[in-house]
Amino acid sequence: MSTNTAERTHDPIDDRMRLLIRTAVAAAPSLPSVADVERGVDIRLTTSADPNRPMRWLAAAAALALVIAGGTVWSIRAHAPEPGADEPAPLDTRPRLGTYMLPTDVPADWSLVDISEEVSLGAGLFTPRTWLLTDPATSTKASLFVYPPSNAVPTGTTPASAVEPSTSAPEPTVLDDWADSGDGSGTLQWAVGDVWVTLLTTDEATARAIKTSLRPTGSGDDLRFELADESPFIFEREVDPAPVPDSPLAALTYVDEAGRQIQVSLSPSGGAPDDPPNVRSIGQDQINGVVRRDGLTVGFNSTANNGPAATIAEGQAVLDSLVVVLSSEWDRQIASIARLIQAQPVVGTSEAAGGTLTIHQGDRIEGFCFTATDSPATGCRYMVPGVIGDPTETIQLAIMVGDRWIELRSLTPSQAGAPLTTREAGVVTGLAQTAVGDFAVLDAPTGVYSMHLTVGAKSTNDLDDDLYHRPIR
Amino acid sequence: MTAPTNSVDQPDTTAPDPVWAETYREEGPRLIRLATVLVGPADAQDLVADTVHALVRRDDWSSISEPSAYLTRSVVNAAIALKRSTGRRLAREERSVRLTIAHSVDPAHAIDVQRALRRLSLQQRAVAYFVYWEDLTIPQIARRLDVTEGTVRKQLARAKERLREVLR
Repeated sequence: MSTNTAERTHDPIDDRMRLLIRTAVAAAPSLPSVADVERGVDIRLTTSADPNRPMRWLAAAAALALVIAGGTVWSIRAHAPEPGADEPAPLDTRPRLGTYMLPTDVPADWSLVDISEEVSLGAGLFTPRTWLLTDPATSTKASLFVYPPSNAVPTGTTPASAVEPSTSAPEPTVLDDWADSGDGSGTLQWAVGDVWVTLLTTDEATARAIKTSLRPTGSGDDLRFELADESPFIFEREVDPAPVPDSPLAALTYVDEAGRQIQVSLSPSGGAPDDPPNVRSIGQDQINGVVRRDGLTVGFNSTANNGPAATIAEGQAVLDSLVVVLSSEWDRQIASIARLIQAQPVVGTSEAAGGTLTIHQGDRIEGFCFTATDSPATGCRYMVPGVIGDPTETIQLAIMVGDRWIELRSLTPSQAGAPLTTREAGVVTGLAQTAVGDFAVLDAPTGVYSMHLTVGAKSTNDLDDDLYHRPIR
Repeated sequence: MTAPTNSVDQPDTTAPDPVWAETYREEGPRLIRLATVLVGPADAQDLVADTVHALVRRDDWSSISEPSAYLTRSVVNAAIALKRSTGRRLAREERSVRLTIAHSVDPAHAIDVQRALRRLSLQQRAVAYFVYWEDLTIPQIARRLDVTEGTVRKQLARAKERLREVLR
């Protein structure tokens, strides 16, 4: 393929990026065989997005399948009342594993350094809310798709203050793309804050006329639209999306005295029958294994740069030795890990966001701890060695301190003085400046399950916008 | 997965090839390279195998008009979902690749590849791959990823902005 030099003037960064990509590709592994693909892969235990439903394909398919019935006009503004100040925080109804396990046969020099449980939202992120529009005079149809918030939306968002929720409609971004499908329809796509919006209709002029008449209200997950009175279009109805369940996912991380790591992953097996452990090597640097037991799929994974961190026999022993434990045993192990991290030398500390952040580094154990100012509660998380203190590393991790959710995010030297903002009410932001780096600290109270962090000012091009989800532990 | 004794260049002669095998062998090398840029070498094989496995279970595989573009978008979408579930493992894989590269190239020019790529969103990585490896034009990339040309230009510009700081 030839480079389209006429389309791009040479930028010195191009040469460096070309080297970067080619260096990355040089590390590509071999392609799985046809037989491997036919058997299916049991190794990766995460919930993956349904690859049969890429964003635009779903939009087109949904539009084609719709049948407009009747002339009922629906107001699409949300009617759910805002929670009052005296109302309790919403209950945490996220799915849990329900069954918890620990291996009893782990090599003597391995230590448990991390336990995490979270909810995988991968599949759900690709399900948009959908409304049908029609012009009764011409019978012209349109479909409006509003996707869940995404941190891949281009810059141009309007961050709110850390204390007060935004009450004004978010400003639209400059993204405003029409794509003709060539079949008598096309899509107009734009972003409102961190939310992608797609309008599917017959032609660009119609799409832009509808877009002009749409009045956004709310933001993020609460983004809604109303039509201006002068628009010839009306909302027919909202299309109920197919429910896509969230799925719990947990992981146990072990390290040995040489600093090698292995990970044991757990997720629901979805009713699949129990299977014996199946541990195998992949190339020369990976050992993977899987077993289905007691409603869970449990995976074993070890990698290292010079040979695997574990042997097939060790991986087999770990999976063979799994025993079911109470959820409280995991909590007890998490507390033990916190004590292990706290016993390491302190290399950085700072007050921020209603607590004290301490950073610990030992010979093979490193991590972050956060102690709340107004309570004795402390939470800690293990960090891969070699990351703390490296200004080019991006650190992002969650620490649970009782019911408080603390999110840490490292800042580059150029971001040290940048404003830190969030859009969620009740979330407190702070800046922790330590001897081993600066960190944005977010403190989310009970009832907040996702939050944004915006680093930088809207007027600059160096705006970072991240979305975090509350872990279960 | 087992070590690749039954590699893509050595068809299994004990059973007839499935209908999708030819397309897979044609597109596979490109998909594994893309997957490596998106999620790193340790996860690339599983990403490709998981994605293709899910797709070939469809009854209407043969009705897909542009399998190349469809496979590309599916791999990118699957990478996005994978990233959200395995964020902490990425740090470990970065170290593995960094040390591997440090031992195989002039240390003075070694690039911490995975660390640099983590500065990019997955969409930006995909665009960078098509620009700097496959040398595709903006319109070609837009068709491959089923996005607008404007989106491709913005993703490329943003990728350059984010990497200027580390790629000196």
